[in-house]
Amino acid sequence: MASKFTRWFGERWPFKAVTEWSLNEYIPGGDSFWYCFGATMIFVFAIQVITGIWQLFFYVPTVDHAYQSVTYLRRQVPLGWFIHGLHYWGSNVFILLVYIHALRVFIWGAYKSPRQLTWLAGVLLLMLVMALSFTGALLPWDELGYWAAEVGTSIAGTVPVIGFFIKAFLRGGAAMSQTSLSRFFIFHVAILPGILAALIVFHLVAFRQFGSVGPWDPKKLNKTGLFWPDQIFKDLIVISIVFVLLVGLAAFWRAPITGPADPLDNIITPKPEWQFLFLYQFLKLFKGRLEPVGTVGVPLVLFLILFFLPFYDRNKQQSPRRRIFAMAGAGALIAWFITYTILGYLSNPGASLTSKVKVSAKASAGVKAGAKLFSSQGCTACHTVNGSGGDIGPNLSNEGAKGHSIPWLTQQIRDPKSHDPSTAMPAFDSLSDKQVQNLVDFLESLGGSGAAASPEKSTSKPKKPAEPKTTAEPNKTGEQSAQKLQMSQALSLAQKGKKIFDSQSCLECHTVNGKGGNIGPNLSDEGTKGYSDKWLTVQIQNPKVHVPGSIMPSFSSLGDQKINEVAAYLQSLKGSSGQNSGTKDPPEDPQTSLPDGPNPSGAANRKSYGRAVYLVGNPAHGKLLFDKWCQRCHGQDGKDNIPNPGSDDGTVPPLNPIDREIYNNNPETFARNIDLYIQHGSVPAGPHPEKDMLAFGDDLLLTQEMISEVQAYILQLNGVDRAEIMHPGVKPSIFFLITLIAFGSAVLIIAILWACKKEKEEESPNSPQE
Amino acid sequence: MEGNHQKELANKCTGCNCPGHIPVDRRGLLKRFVWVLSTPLTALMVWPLIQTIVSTIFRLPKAVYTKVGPVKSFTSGQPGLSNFEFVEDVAYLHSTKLFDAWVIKHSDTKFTVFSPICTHLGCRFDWYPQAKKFICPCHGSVFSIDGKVLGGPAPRPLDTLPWKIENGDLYVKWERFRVGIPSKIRVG
Repeated sequence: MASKFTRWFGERWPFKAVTEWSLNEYIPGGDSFWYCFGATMIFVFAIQVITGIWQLFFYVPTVDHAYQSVTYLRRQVPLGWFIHGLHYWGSNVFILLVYIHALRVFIWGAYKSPRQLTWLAGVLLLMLVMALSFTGALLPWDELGYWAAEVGTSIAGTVPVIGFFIKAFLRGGAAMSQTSLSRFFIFHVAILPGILAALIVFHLVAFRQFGSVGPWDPKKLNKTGLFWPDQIFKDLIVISIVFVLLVGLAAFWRAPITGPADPLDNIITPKPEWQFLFLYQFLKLFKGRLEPVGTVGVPLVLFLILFFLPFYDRNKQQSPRRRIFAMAGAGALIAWFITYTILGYLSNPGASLTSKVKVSAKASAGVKAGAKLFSSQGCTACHTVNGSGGDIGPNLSNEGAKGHSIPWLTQQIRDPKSHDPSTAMPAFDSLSDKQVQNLVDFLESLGGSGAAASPEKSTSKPKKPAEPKTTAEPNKTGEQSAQKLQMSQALSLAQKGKKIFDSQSCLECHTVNGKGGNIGPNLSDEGTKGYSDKWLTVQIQNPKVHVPGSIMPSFSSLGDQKINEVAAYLQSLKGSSGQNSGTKDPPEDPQTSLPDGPNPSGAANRKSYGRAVYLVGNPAHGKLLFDKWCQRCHGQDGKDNIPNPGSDDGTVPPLNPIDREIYNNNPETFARNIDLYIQHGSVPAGPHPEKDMLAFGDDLLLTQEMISEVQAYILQLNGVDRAEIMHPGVKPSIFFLITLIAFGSAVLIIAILWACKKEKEEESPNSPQE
Repeated sequence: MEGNHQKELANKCTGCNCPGHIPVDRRGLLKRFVWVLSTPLTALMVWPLIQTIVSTIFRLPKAVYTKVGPVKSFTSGQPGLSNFEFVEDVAYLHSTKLFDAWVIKHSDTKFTVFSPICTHLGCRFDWYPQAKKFICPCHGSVFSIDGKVLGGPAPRPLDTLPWKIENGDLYVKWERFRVGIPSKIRVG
């Protein structure tokens, strides 16, 4: 039946001819693992196309919804983490494979005549893959992609004459906006892949015109191999290894969550992904008017070197041993690439107001004062000292050992242009003599302590310069760290009163914050009603005093102390805090009025959530924001009990660990609980609290994106992962295990078949080999 | 041979009796017709394709004054980064966006407002109060409180934004300028 169909079909469509042309290829010198990279790339390209299209079932290319649509896929769609992870890691592996394949082709001399056209197509394919990785990064509209595109398009703008046009064309206007996302989207999902697919076919046809170049050693040319099944089998082995690797990466190394794009961010200093780091780092050598040389000249030269290789290298020799010059050139280029990639990775971009310079406790007062000035005057923005700071100016970690005299250093600070007229360093001529002396003392103290002369890797200490951790992090699915919250401080009066209120079944008749009965009045804003403590006490002790026909029972058996506490609790119930947030909320505000989880006590509980609760923030970035905005009240890492005189608690509530009522191991609920505080602020219970919490959302002190980052950080402090995968479908670790078992079984079966074949050959040694 | 036969035909400009042969001049003419017809087809398709993706990128949206806050709420002397809501019209989108600007109050009637975008390459800079300087973390451009370039690669001073006071409130016009060049040219 099947053969009838194949015959009918084969008469009408030349699939046999096509398959024969494709598969019946003789490989001079035989099949080899070295030839596998091309096929592997076709496989990875197929994965990219399929996972790319699959993501389009969910992804929406609008600035309002792009980020949420991606995080929804990654967290709420079963095996969505897998599809997204494959696509992210697939792109990285793709680029690596292009480089490896190009190097392999280079070493084999397979670019030489008559195979030049294949090579030219290959170089263009490399450019397309880089363009795809650049455009794809913007699509999630996260911080990493947004700022990379902001800087990348600005760099395109430095092209002489037409740069302004290119930048505006890429952005669809002057600023990064919806038009930019739309353009990057269509380039990434339609235009570039289309050209790539066409160019791949062109590249393959050009390759088959002359076939594989084969080994350079004539002795090895005797052997021949067939594409099918010999080479294809080897290809499949490499493909399988790469696939298992991709699954492992997707399962255990989460694609980075860098937080939603925030155009108002002035903490982040963007750094590109690994594939562009070498250009980024090398560009730093071209300062001022030389900048276009770095942004345009260098990439152009690199492209020309690669593209025209078959034309300036006319040496007909194929063996690497006879092409010393070519090998040396390639080696130098690779070494340069790797060096600058590593330097770029380790570099410290910029600095922030919060970066502090460490100084030993034994240092003199002058040196300590100098260290403080070094930070506050902004020197850390350009200079690195002991791993902290920027690298626009020279690293000063060893300045004391450099042999600069005190008058020289003084002059350098007051008037840098007197030493170097082209310096970018501003003059600090408004400092007093004493201040300059302190700075010089500090500088002289630096050095000989083993501090590295080159910029060090930014670690995640609180004093580090502003570089949020944008590298991928380990996946924490399903591994909730069981956090035992301590009963940290003595409970305030109102909190004690609440406990009594809840335990005495007051909620059977009264509603507080959405919970309870409605036999008696709603007490949610009892504290605003103007009742005196005495009145409330009497009401609890003997309600019939106020309302003779009241059906409320008497609670005089509680005793005075307890009744006082309940009264205090009632006074703390403020309900609506009086601020009308309706006009200020952005149009996308959901207006859900009541939280699903436990109600935060004392906060404005009738208010709505901000847009921040729908955004999954980046805790590393949140920490930087926290240090800037929240630390002064909530303490370092939310731990310290900063005094708040006049409040019932006596201190500002710590966030680490956070109140049990607010904590929730469901990240969505936890985020909502703290969102109400951050958006609308909060006045602590108490007669005259010195500090109250600002309404960061309502008063526009922080953007919704920033609030989401802070929320992610607070959750992290309490052991909850804001980006936790809620519906993994299959847990990543399990999926990887299944993958290993599947491939392991395949390997086992192959081994058994091979062993059986070997046995058969031994039994009948006269049977022909192969 | 085929080639010679073609040349003969070309010279004679007439048909021949060979089966399957078409006179060269008619074929040539038809080929020319194909090119002539294809040209307007292509051009009329390509021209709108280019025009649509190029013509809107230089549009300048109308800049309007937006309220930032009451004059009394600003403290004199130190620059402060003020967030304000701005209704932005970009292409088909009408949305409320949050923008910010550096506001320096000199008196109840005199302000200076700076765009928060560094004139070098568009990063956001910060104010260092003890150093009394604006410093950009990306490439180290340094500006004085008047916006003057004190150091670093910035090609021009900080861009000022138009402001006005109405009914005791400060209003600012949000404008965007081209970065990386010495002159202040509005692009958005």
